[in-house]
Amino acid sequence: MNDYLISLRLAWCVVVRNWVVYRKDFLANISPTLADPALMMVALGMGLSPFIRSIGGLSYSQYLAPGMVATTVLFTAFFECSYGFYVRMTFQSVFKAMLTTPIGAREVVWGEFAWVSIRAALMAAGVGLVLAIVGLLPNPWSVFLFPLIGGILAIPCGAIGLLAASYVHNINQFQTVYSFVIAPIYFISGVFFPLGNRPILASIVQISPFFHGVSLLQMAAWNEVSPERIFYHLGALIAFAVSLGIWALVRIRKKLVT
Amino acid sequence: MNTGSNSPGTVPIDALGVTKCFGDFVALEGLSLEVHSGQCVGLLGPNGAGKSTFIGCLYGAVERTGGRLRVFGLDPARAARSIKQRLGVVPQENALDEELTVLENMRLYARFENVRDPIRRIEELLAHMSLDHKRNAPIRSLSGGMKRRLTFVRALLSDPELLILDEPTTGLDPTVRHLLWEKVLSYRKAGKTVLLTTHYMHEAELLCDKIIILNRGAAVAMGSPKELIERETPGFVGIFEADQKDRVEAHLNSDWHCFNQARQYCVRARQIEHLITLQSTSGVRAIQMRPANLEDVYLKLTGEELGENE
Ligand SMILES: Nc1ncnc2c1ncn2[C@@H]1O[C@H](COP(=O)(O)OP(=O)(O)O)[C@@H](O)[C@H]1O
Ligand SMILES: [Mg+2]
Repeated sequence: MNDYLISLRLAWCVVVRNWVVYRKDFLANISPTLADPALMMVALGMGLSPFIRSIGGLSYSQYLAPGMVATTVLFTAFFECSYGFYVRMTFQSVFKAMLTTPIGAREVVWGEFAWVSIRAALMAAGVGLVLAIVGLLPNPWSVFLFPLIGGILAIPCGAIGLLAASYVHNINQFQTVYSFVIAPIYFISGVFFPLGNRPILASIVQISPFFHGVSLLQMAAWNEVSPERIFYHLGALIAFAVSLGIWALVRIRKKLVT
Repeated sequence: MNTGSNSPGTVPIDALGVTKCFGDFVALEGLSLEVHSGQCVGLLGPNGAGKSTFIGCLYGAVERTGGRLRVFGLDPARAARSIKQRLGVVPQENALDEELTVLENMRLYARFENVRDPIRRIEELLAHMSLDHKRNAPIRSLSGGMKRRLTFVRALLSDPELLILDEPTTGLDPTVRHLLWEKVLSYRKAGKTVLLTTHYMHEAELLCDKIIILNRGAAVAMGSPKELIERETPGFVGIFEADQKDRVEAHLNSDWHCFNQARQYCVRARQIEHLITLQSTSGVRAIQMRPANLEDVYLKLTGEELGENE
């Protein structure tokens, strides 16, 4: 069998391992990633909507909706790959044993990406379905695109998590990463307010993979089909996924193989 | 001696001048050794001597910084996966998934190793290690000895040709230790090759036909336990109360060795008769007289001072 095919099989083993551990405590694991967007919809969507004029013909709740899909993707991928991976690596020494089997550092990283990508895709589908049912998606068919976009967006978000796990010296430092990396890219991303009439912010966010994912989700949800914009945001998102993914692989390999 | 699945005369582990530096720190300094198929080789040495580092080099978990290393004729820096398909490792840390049950853990590893008919193989090994009654118990409910036995099960899942044991019995009670010794011996009888590290000299003497003593990343002695004792500390050791030291010392011969150990005064002489004579000339009775053993060799070669990490 081809070398890469074996790697794929072994990376899938890592996914299975994570799933077997995850399902042990399924409710506790899945609820925070669902509670966040739900609370946000209630507080901001229902709470603020009456005070906000429509944004480009959308109610504020409708404006917020695709961002909630992005939220669940970001937090699922980032937390799993930062705290989750760090705990597996240092406190549980999972990889000390795993690396004695045919699994190597490459398969571990591929497996982590596949794991968060699948999880994010499923969460995006779930959140999207709820939003469609309550009528917050002008284009309800977009729920079929959410898992696809969410699955891709999970890769750069997970890569940031893995990079954080490779740089921190102890688990408390993830708080710093959250405050200075995740929070800015989350709050300034178009999820909560349109960036169109703020030229400086609008150009800065181009370097955030999350912004491109949010843009794609919004285009799908609001049925704003523009081939150039799809091409641009999708291209940027994939470019970020590949480059951050490779960087994370290099860093994590250095951590696992001394 | 060399019977079994490995063709006799092959060299599963062949190291020549293997070096590993962590920054400025030299963990392995030109280590050369060979493990022949069917042999059980013991790596001894103080904490921090570089035993686990060398083991990591064998399957690519540690990247050596110099020297030549071949495992089954392959370079671990390039062909780690092919090598790992043929060996089993009991790492120093168990690294089991604490939340999962025994069976769940082993099924995952059987999947990693692509074991055929995994359930049968797992049940067979669990029974072999007397763990079958624990198959549905979560790992965190197992005792230290059970966890250690389970890491043996895990290492043996793919029926490896080479078994690497990093301090397999450290911290275990004597019953478990004896059980594991018996398993290692039967594994050897089946013609497999074993590399183990240990701090228990008795264990090394019992299991290994070749011993390598490491100190600060370099081999300071190599040979069968008998050869090492014969070469480094031949003869018999008489052990006296520390406060009798002056009375005994006055009657020593120049070719006898004396040293302090655990608040006791020890004299090593070539023949046991010499010690008997020493008792009568000094008028002091020894607490014990015994043949020199591997522990004497170890303490002589690694020095009685504490290792790097103490
Ligand atoms: N990743 C690492 N970074 C820096 N130093 C290390 C690393 N791993 C091991 N060492 C050092 O290398 C030396 C040998 O360690 P090790 O091989 O674990 O010793 P042993 O197994 O013989 O007790 C120790 O001094 C240890 O501190
Ligand atoms: Mg060690």
